[in-house]
Amino acid sequence: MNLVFHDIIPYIPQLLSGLAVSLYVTVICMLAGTVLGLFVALCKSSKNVILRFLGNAYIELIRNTPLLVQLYILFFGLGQLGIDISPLWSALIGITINNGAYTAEIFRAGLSSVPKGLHEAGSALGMNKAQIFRHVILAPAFRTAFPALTNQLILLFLFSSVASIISLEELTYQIMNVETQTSRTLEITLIAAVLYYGCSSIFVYLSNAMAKKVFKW
Amino acid sequence: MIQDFSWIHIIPILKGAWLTIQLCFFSLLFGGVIGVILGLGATSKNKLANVLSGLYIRLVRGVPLLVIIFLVYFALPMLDIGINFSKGFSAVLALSVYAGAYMGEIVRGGIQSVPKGQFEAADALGMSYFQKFRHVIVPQALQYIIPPGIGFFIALIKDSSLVSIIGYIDLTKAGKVVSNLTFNPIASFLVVAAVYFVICFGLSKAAYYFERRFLQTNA
Amino acid sequence: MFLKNKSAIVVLVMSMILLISGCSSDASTTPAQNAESHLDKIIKSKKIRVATYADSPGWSVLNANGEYEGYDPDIARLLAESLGAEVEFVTTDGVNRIPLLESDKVDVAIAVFTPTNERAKSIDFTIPYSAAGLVPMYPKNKPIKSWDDLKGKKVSVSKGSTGDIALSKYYPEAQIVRFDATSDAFMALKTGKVDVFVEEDGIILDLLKKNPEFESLPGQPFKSSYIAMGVKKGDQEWLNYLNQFIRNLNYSGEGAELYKKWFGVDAPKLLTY
Repeated sequence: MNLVFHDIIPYIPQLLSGLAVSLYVTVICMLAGTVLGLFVALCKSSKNVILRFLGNAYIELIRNTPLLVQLYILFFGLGQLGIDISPLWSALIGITINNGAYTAEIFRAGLSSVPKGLHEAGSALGMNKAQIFRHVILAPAFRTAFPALTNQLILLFLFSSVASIISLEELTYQIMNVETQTSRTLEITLIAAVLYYGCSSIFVYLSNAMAKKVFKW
Repeated sequence: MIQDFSWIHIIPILKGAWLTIQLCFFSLLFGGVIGVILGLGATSKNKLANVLSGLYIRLVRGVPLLVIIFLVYFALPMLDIGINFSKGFSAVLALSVYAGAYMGEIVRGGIQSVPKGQFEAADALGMSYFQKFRHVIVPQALQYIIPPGIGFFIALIKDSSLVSIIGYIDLTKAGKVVSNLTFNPIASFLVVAAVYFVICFGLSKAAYYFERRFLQTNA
Repeated sequence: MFLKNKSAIVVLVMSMILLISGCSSDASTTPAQNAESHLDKIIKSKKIRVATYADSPGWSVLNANGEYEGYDPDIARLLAESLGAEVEFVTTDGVNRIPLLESDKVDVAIAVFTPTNERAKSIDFTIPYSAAGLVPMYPKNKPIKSWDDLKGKKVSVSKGSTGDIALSKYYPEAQIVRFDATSDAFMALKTGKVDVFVEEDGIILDLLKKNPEFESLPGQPFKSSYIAMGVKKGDQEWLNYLNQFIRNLNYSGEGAELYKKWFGVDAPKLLTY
């Protein structure tokens, strides 16, 4: 085996710009997906039958089909119907919708882990439902869900690479392009591993640091 | 040359689905064994076992599956140390190594969620290590292991599509092949999505009923 | 939590080890001179492993019956016949052709392989058995007049294809949009995501028959490239045999016949000695 890296040096800016796109998509989709997931989790645990059904259907449909197919349908499928969405927006929308289904399940577990006593304590203080949710339930539920959310963030980062199939110029797209230009397949794969692994580690480090700061109680 | 999409193109897609199911079944089997060993290692009192299991889990979970498959199939033979695995062996090995890390984490969580008192009670009764696990820990830990285990299996079915990098025509790749045969990606991938849905949704529903029966008999 | 900041160091150490092992094995092993040639191995085992595409229309596709069909598989079968062996096809895509050869998973890659100078540093190429001319495809109502019009336009290609390599080299001013598969690149044109789709002439001609709303630049073929077979570096005996086989294929006209059969147009002229 003979590893040669010097051919790849001119392509470093290209790889870094790909990494920037991947990080951008990951952060936006994590934030948007978390809000969406919280909303869906509330639908699923509501007393309204239709809301519960819709929440369930959404979660099952998304979790049981591959992200690749979802992005395909969003990008090409809607394109065939004359609705033109750019690769970036397709990725942002598609990955957010995908991520929402997973975070919804995480939040559902988090919400159900909050002891009943807290609900009762809230209503004893004369709070209405929204106030109880906002001031009493949300924080402990979020703390319980936090480790699972961090895991989800890592998975989201790794799976954002699927967006390369709709020509989004993220890290995997650039890696494959550099592979085409240089034919250094093994070397590029190693670089990819180090970049993906390094960023995942940084994400975990940051999220640990944040958990320490935010969840002090 | 370019054909219209028709029902005959469902055959290669179903063949791909069958391959996906086979690969995932064996990978979950071997990955499960690795996972149990890692889970026991991570929760044992032995420091070395602790560190080694932790290292394995951290390392494998931080690297994309694609890279693992690539290294097993292509990089090992290139080291010129006499290793050259076949396609099937490489795919199952890589997926098992990957599944092992996730199952290890799930098993660890399951064992740790059994209250400490249960371990102490078993010790107080003079049970051996094996007896303790067989009669006390495993029955309780399983209810924390089965649901996320099934969840992981469903994820594995979707993620295993990456084996196409080493030349396997699995469910997703079959969709690509048919799409290039017919130049009709939408129809091809809708069929692929439907097949994935049937497999994954069916599995999760089956697991749900199994789980309920299982938990009832243990209650 | 499964990852700690320490883990980054672990990976760095891992890659260092890989690097060192790579360098040292490079120094210690010389190209295996006395290793058995693939030629002898194939004749003995009556089995030849050929890397080919499963999703490159015209060149090679896996049909609904699970058989490989197209120009490349036909040539592979002729090659196997000449050796008294049976073909075992291994599906490839643009990304794993070279690793398949380097890790000795296949004996030869017959997979629309363009012998670029870059690639020739990693593997060996035979003399060409074919050539591919590139053609643009665009909507009739938004035409281009020449190749130079590509500048600033969005052009879809299939990742790592001949079109990808040629456009990156000669028209860097074009906005190249790369897709995983030929059908995706065409779908991007059809759904209005790009202005032009560039592929090999055989494929485009076939697509034009079914999609009359598009057209191509007649009589303006673009810098053609050779198509050759790829083999692992260092097996001169095997390379000699393949070159001999291709010379016969080209000179007898058998290759051209197959080209006409699969692409419906005359084979491009080849300069071979």
